[in-house]
Amino acid sequence: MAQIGQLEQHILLAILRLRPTAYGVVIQQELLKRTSREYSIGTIYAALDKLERKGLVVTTRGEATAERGGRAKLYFNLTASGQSALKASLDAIDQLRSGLRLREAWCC
Amino acid sequence: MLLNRIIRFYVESVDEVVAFFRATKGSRTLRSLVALLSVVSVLPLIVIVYAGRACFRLFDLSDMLIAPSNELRPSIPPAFAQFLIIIVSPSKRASAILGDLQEEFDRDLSMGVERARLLYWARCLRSLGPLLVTKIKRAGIIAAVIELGRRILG
Repeated sequence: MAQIGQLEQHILLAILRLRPTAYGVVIQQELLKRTSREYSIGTIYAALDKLERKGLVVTTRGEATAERGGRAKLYFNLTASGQSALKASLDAIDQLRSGLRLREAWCC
Repeated sequence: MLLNRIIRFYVESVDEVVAFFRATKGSRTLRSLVALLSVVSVLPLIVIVYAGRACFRLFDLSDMLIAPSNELRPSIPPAFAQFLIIIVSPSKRASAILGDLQEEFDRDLSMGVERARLLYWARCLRSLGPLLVTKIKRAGIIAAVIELGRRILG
């Protein structure tokens, strides 16, 4: 199963929340809203490119709109293996967190 | 890809030189020097190929720089910033990335045209690094140069 990093995990979760209308800018805004991290469009697309090559997301070309200067949106959606990889990644974090109380771990 | 073919051809040509040095049992310093010269000499070739491809893509994608609806806009994003994005973006993503940047530019226009153009430049410059790294990785240049050095140094 494909391994994913933290940014990829965040992007997959954002796509899951936004689908079927997840595209570059809205993914960026969702990440800013939920994680308070401002990633550049280039970073988002570089990560999405990596995810697509791993077969975890698929793209669909939308219609060209006037507010985008006549350019089409590129919608992203999770594949079955994308959902499996995300679940495995979140399960791993849950396993690591189980039985831990962060305040105790921090002070000792 | 054209670039991959050129690099492969180059690596194969260098193999001939390497074989010669191995046969003549040249010193390690000499072989290192040949390795360095070979790697340095391939860099201008890569730059030329990329510049050529960028020019071709600019002609292909020139309609992206001035979108049809721009005549009605109070302002348009900086064309050179768009050009830089087109160069470093994967070809199938360039249009979508420019569209996303255009959306943000339109949103920023409420703060004034100059500020929106400045923010557009900032966004483009922030995006160049990650896109360029992706492009280099996809082209396999780093892997090709490492492979070249490995073969020469034995």
